[in-house]
Amino acid sequence: MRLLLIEDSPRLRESLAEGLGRMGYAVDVVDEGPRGLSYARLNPYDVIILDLMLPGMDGITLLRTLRAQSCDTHVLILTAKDRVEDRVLGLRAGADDYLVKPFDFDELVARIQALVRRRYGQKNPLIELGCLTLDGTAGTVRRGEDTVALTPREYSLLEFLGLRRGEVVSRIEIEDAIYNERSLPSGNAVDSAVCRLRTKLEQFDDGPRIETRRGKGYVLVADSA
Amino acid sequence: MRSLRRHLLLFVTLGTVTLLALGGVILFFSVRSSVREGFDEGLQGRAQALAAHLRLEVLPAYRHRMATLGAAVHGGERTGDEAARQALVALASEALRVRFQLDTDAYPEYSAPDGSASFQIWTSDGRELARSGSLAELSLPRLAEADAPVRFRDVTLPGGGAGRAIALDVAHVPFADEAWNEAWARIRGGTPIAASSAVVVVARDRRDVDDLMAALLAGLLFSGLVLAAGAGALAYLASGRALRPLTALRRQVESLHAEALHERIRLDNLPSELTPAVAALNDALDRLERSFTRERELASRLAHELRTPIAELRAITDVARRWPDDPQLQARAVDQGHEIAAHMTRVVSVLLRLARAESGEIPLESAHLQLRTALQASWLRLEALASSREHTLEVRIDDAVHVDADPEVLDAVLGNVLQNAAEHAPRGSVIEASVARDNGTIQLVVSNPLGTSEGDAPDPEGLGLPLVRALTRAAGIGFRIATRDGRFHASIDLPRAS
Repeated sequence: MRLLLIEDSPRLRESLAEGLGRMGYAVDVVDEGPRGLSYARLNPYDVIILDLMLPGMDGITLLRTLRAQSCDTHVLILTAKDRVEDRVLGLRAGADDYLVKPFDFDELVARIQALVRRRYGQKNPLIELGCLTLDGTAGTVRRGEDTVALTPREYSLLEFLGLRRGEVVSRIEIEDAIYNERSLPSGNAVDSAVCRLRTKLEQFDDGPRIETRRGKGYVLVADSA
Repeated sequence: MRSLRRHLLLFVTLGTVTLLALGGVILFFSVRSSVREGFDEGLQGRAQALAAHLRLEVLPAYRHRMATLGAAVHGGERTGDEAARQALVALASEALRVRFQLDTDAYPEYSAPDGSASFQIWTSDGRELARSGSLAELSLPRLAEADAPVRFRDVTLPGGGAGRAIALDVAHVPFADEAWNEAWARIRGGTPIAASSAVVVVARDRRDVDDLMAALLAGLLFSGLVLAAGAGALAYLASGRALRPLTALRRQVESLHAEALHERIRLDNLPSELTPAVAALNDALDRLERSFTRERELASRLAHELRTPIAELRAITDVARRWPDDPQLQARAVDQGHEIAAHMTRVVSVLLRLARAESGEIPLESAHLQLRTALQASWLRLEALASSREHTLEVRIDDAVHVDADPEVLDAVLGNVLQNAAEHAPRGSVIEASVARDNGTIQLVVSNPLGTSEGDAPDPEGLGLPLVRALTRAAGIGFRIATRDGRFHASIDLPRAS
């Protein structure tokens, strides 16, 4: 899943990017309003994490501009403004969630996960993929009681494909979802990642399968549990 | 606990009782004096009436001799026969006798057996001339111890009752023959002749007077008690009515609490005596509300100012705890935690300075300072922030401009104004510092372009500008902020160095 973090505090920006990246998210970071707006316009983010007091353009203006341009990316406002009227203003400007600083990192992650699930119409944090269960809350894949060892990127890819199981997903969509701007993949990186994940999944007879649709992309096929 | 009502009640009641007692005593004694005076006048009248019945007569055996000596004296008035006159005076004690004749039918009270009125008459040499029938065998006192011709005294009547007596000295009892009176007056001159004087003592029962005075005293005591009780009751009712506004005031004061400090005690319907105190109380509430507001604003600013570093610290530690086996992540978390602690220390230091400035605890010094150097020194400390935001400072101030100011205060003021500009000007701004006015007071203006973002405006909840306001107020320095021509201006008035 790809996130955009617009935050002017360098330390907070870096620590959140570090933590979310380790959770398997592809995170782009921006420190001021105008650049944040252009990033949000140009990239298909799953969630935008938006500070309000930003140089160049404040978060509310940025959010209203995005909504006016029909950008429907879920936006989570992350700010020190804790008054009720500030929350109401942010939510009415088009935010999907509002979190006041200081906050718990796990709570931020949980809220991001909820917004991601909402984006893909998934209420249940557990995604059943044949004999495997992807736990979006814990960030793990299990078969029964056993945990399947996946790298964060493999997990992220499986989650992305799992949320869109049965749909053909193009390479570009995969690239946008699991890579940020600092880790732009080389030409066949997506194919390599899919290949590695496919190999790991093939060890389970009744697990999900990643099928290639030549010229179109990939589709995850999973039997109902 | 002191009770105003009890105090008022006690004061009014005791005061009324005291005044009534004093008035009663004065009234009692003045009435008694008046009654006694009337009684004594009656006694004196009676004594004089009895004295009018006294007559002087010459014993028959001495009439011829007295006449002869009288003629000699008469002749001596012209010839100076003093010897004849002295002989006549000497003879008087033997030749003259005082006689008392009274028609007892005209004075029946002196005969009453109850002894309510009695008299006794003596000659000056102590010979009893007459006594009233009411005395029987008893005697009245002659009251001879005083020197006055008329003497009064309370006595015990012969019958045992309380009475009052008068002793009237009759110095010259008259002759029945008027011609003798004139002659005898010439002969004796001013010399008192014991043989021709008498003492009349009259005593009367004074029970009526005593009863009257007892009734008066009882009436006064009774009416005094009734009036005192009435005064107490009235004082109780009046104090309750007068203190009713205090009860209403107490209810109003009780309704005041920390969440309703904007409320004030109403002055309408208050007694004029309470209005100044309540007005002073309202003034105190004004000051209290301002103080509470400042405290709340300060707490709010502090909370706002600390939210971001706390959020940073929490995010850093949360991430570090989630991946505890990554030494690089742990080391970075420690370094960043240290930086955040330093930042929070600065925030607390600013807060302390603000508190001290507001309580006037910052001691002020005065020094000649070159304004340009002071500005550049403050800017130098903001180098990291300024370079990250790509700002530059343009100082349009001549080197010759010096000001009188406390170095520490000026540094804190300039540092906060410049930091405010650096934080909120759009990236790559030119921050300008210039002297707008120099007429004994230097008006320093620091300005920066306004951004289009809320984040470009000075943070209304931050500590920087409130600190500058508090410091300049404590140092007596003028400070204003304004927005015009697309720029934010901070003006500081500093005294030019003399």
